[in-house]
Amino acid sequence: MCSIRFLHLLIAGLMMVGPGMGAQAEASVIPDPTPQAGPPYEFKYINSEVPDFKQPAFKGEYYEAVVPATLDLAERARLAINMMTESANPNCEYLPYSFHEHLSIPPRMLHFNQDLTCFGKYVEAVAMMRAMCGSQQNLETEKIWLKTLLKMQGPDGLMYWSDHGRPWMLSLTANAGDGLPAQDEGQDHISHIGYGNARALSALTFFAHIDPDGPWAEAARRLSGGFKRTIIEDGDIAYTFNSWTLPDLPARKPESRPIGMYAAMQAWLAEALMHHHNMLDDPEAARLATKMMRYLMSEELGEFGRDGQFLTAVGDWAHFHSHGMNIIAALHVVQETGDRELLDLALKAYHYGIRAGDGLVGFFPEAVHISGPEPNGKHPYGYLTSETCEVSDMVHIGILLSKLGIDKWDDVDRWVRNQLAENQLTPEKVSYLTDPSLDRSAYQPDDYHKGRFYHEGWSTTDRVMERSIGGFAGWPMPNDWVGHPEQYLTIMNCCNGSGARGLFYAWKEMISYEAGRLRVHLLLNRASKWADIERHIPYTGRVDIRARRGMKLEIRIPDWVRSNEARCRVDGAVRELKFDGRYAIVGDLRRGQTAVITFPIFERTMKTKIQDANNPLGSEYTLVFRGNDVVSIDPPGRICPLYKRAHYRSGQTLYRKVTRFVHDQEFEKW
Amino acid sequence: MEYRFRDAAGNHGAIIETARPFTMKSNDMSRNRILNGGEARAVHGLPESIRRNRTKMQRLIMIWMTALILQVGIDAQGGDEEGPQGDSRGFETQTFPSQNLADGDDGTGNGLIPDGVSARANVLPDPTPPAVVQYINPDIEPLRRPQYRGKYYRALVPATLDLAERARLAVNALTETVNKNSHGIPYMQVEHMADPPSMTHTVCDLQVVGKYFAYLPLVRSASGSSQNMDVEYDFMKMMLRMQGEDGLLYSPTQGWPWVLQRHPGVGLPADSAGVDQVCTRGYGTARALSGFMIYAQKDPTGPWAAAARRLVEGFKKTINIRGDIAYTFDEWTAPGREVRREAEPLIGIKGGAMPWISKAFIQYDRIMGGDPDAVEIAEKIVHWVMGDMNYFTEDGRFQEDSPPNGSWCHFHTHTMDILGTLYVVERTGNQHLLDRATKAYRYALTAGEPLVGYYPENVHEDGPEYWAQHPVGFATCESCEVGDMLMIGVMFSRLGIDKWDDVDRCVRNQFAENQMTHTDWLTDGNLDRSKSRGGKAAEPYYKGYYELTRQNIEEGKTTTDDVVKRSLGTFACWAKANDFVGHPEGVITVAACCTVNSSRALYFVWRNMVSYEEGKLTVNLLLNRASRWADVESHIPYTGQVDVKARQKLELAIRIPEWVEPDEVRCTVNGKSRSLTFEGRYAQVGRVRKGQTAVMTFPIFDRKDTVDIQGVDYTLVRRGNTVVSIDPPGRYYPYYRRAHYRGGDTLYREVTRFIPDQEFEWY
Repeated sequence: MCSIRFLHLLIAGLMMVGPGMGAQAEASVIPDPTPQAGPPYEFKYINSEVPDFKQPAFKGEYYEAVVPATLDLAERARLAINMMTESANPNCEYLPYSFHEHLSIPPRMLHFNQDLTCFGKYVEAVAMMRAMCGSQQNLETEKIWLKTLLKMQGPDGLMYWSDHGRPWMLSLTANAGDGLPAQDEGQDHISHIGYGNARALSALTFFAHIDPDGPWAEAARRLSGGFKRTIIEDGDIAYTFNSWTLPDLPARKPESRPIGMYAAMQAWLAEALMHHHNMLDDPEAARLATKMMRYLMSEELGEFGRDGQFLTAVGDWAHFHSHGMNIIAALHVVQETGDRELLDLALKAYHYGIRAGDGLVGFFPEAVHISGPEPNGKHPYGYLTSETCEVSDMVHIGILLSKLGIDKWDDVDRWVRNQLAENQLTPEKVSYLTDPSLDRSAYQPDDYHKGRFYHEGWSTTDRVMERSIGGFAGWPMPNDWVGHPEQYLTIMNCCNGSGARGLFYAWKEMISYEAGRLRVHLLLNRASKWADIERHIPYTGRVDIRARRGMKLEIRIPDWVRSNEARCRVDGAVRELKFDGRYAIVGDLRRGQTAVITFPIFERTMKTKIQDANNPLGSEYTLVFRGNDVVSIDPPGRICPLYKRAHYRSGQTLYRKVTRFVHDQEFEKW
Repeated sequence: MEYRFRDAAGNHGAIIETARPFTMKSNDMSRNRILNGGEARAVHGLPESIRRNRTKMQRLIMIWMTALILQVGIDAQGGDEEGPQGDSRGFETQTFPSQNLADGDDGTGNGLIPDGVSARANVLPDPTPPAVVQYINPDIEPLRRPQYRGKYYRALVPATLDLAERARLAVNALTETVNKNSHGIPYMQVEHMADPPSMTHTVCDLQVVGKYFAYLPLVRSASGSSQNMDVEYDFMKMMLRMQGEDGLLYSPTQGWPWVLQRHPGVGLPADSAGVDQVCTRGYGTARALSGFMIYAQKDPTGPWAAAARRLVEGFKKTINIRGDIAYTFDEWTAPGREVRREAEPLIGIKGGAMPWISKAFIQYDRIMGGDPDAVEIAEKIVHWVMGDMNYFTEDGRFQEDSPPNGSWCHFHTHTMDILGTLYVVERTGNQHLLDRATKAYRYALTAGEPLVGYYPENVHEDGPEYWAQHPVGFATCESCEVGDMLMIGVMFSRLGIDKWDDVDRCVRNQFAENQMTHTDWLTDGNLDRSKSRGGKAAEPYYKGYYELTRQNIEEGKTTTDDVVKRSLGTFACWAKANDFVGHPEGVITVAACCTVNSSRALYFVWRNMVSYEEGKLTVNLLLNRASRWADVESHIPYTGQVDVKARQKLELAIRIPEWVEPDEVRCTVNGKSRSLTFEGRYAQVGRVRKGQTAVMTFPIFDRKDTVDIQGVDYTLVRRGNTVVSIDPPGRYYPYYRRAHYRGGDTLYREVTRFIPDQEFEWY
């Protein structure tokens, strides 16, 4: 959905707002706005009356534990829940804000046109996060979201929303950029075919798994059916007839097949259809998704070169995230169909993506010039930063490839530990953003920006810092959480949903259990019903696995460790290791036993060139790795520096007290 | 388990009992076993480091053969590794004849190490003496090995500043930055900016050896570390062997030729003066007196009390008394050298070194049962130094070291004078001296930066403002004076003048950062040594240092053996406010004086941060601390929380730092709210029963300060009293890498805590 940001500049000039209307509260807090239609106000919904329902519960075991203070995806999920449920407007049915400005005085959250296009993404992602960590923060927000989803569902099964009371949702006049109608077209209920609504299908499917007795499976079935009716089958390919629709609007085959971003965003839908099929058995959805991906990855559409190069049929810049999502959807199809040709192209595209970014840390740029993969340096808006969306995509792709037998776990490991983890706004990072030594005066919005966003009733300055802890950067640099050329915009909500999804996939797939055998693919902290994993890396080269049931154990040893240097003890007794590829075969473990794997860890220095806002053609960064963790980057960031990890270098494990959660269910089919 | 060793002559030596099989962590221990031959070697074989290094092994064989030829017995050592569980092995008495070790090896290994050659490729081993080290008193009485009894236990504590853990690192520094091939004599310098890093003997070895001897027991007692107990034993023997008939301590110059190589300002005779044994009357010798008194407390039946008494009497004979002043007749002496009664009092930095003796004399009086003469001399020395000697002005301003022609004032010498004065004040109640010390302390604060505890090596006589024209550009800080200022702050507080916040700011910041706690900056491949190569662009002064380093290597004064690891826990000697390395051109980063003085200060703060009297425990500093009365766990600066877990019934008072408003402090005892009253800054918690935990909480916040430290504007972010960010950051070994403190969630560390049975009467 980040592509919508490309359109801001185009539509801003059309906003008929005087410069004085932006609220620049220095002294007083701007509370969360109420809808502009005036109180008492209720949004228009296509299905305003929905039966009451019991809120799905995330059931599982909670327990207190002292664990190594290393990357813990469940703890990161807890933060992400804070962000997504707090950065929502309680006076506006908890509608998520589109953007954050952490450097503004005071910091601000803004409603804009991504509020609803990313809404389904939030519902899906928060559910995933709760399954990981068991957080019960703001459960009431989630219930209202679920109710909103049901109210948005029309008779045809599609999700509709209205801009009534939410004037920021649509541009004033029609334009060719955002794939939506304009305000002056006077439509009351609009359904976006893709992005958030596609995520809504995934969200409903997820809740159907958690709460089989609730209305979620039926809602998902109806939504899937609605989507199917928007899809045009054209020989052995398929595509949606438009990027949006209206109630009762028939889906007619367009004069020409869709191209550019509107075509590319259909990958979101294809992926959601595959989820629906995987979880709730919908072969028709899988069939259509397969045909869609044949078109989306085709030479005809021209989004990908045959060697995997990112191209675009419209313009000179390829949106990385859209390409990443297409690769993901293609790999889902490959999982289902075994399509070797699609796999080959997806793999090539993955390798191209790595070359277009930096595979060491997982920095992937927002846009790649079609003559890439090298930085071009001439982006029209100077966007030389990375969205969390594509960082998360690449993590997801690496996992999918690994599940298909193409081992990319070390890629995943590096990217999760580094750019993805650093892109999340942790309390430590907030301390830099609130640092009294930070001179914010240089980063204040100009009149142009205020004209676009600072309208009465569009934003809040209420406790923005604490509410946004756990959010994911929308414009990070390799070394700085803040990298937008204008620097007052820091988060866009699409990256929150995508970043959270990245956490979930890494967390979910880092272990797998089948037929009594537990395989640990990534050495990160993790609680599970099978075993608890405690990771001392990068303090020391050590991982502890405490079995919660009898099992055979295999542990993947990362590339930077020589297999013959790995040692294992089980309850203190030496256990000889055998290797199957990079997997150390520990063997049988009884319930209650602890396997401790140790190996040498060391630091190594690497230099890499990555594009950034300071140097469009790329700056040289010196990275110090300890294992796969970057523990130092030079030059350092100047506003909210990344990789403040000196404590990892002491060689002595630090610990954290946490509440661990083991969900009753796993999500093997997801 | 029992092992019997035989000396080189085949006689059975001591019985060494161990509670568990030997583990060999120290190359030196292994070497000694080889030297002893017999069962130990048969059991353990050659250590790994020697197997890997044939050159070193060959040298050791040569040492062994030489020893056999000379029929020199080597004391049997070994098995003195005392695990954290506190093995209960008792003292063992050993006999050893004179240990005058000669070595025919050239001591320079492979000679000059070319630039860029890694340490692994070409190691310079610890040099062996080029001649017999002939002690003045080679035959000493049987001696007990040291032992540190106490309670060890594992604990998960907040990963915040823990002085006991720092003391453990200091034990590493004090026992590893010594030459185990040369009786354990310390290396004065560590040159981290050399490639590979090196350690070098200099003229100042002699000045610090007494400090190593005196302060190693202190940091052991704070941490319970039993690392390298054999090194401590070497120190003990060395000091007794250095004690002459007159009671003074004499360093042999043969075998250690560098101790008399001329160095301006050191106060020793020239190496051409024909002096075989030399005593410096201040510095290390005075510190050695403190060491004797510590061992006298540990081993009352040993030789230590007598050695202390003899040393004090020896000192007294070198001191002239004129009315209400006293002074030593010269900076050094030699056996039989005449004490010139007509000598004029020393002035400048030469006189400024005398209060080391005052401090030691006051300790002697307090610990050893009273010596009014020593107190009188101590008072008269500081009366001279703080008064008419004109080393301080009336308002406390520091004055020059080399009158009448100098203009720079050595900070450490001045602060040692203040400290010596406060010792006298505590004993005598001399208000005039207290007034002088107070003014000088205030001046010192203005000459440095008390927000972080940075105090410069030198202050211009027209200071306290920074003068950029120091002849060799010393715009850095020695850990010596940082440690002094800590001790002065503690001493004032003991006298009822509350300086605990000064101490808190200093100990958490510059002092803590000045200790080398990690080695990644040396090993991650990023260290820029381009300025330290003595190239054409280098300043002449530093170029000279570089050349000197190369010369030292050629002369066999230097080792490059495992320097990075061995120097962990040392303290910076030329630190900047933001960097351990203040003189990238200077090669040298650590001077042993800074390491030992800081170890002393570390213990002093640790010792005094809690006090217990008549059932009342007073917590003066909110830092982690185990004690026999209560365990203190500080969550600061993660959060504003301190937990005090009572180990016995007590009345509890906790000092709340200045950045906390008393009415914002909350307290619970075992979860139940406890209302507080305040006496000054001390929150009176009241009665706490054994096993109960008092939890004190208060808001903590970040604040920004901009300070000018020696001509550089620094922006600090402080959380409580703890600096969590400094801008601009350091370049080589950047300070304040403390981002993890800023998350608001406490991180924990698993540590072995130690509660000594005996806390010395040492302050």
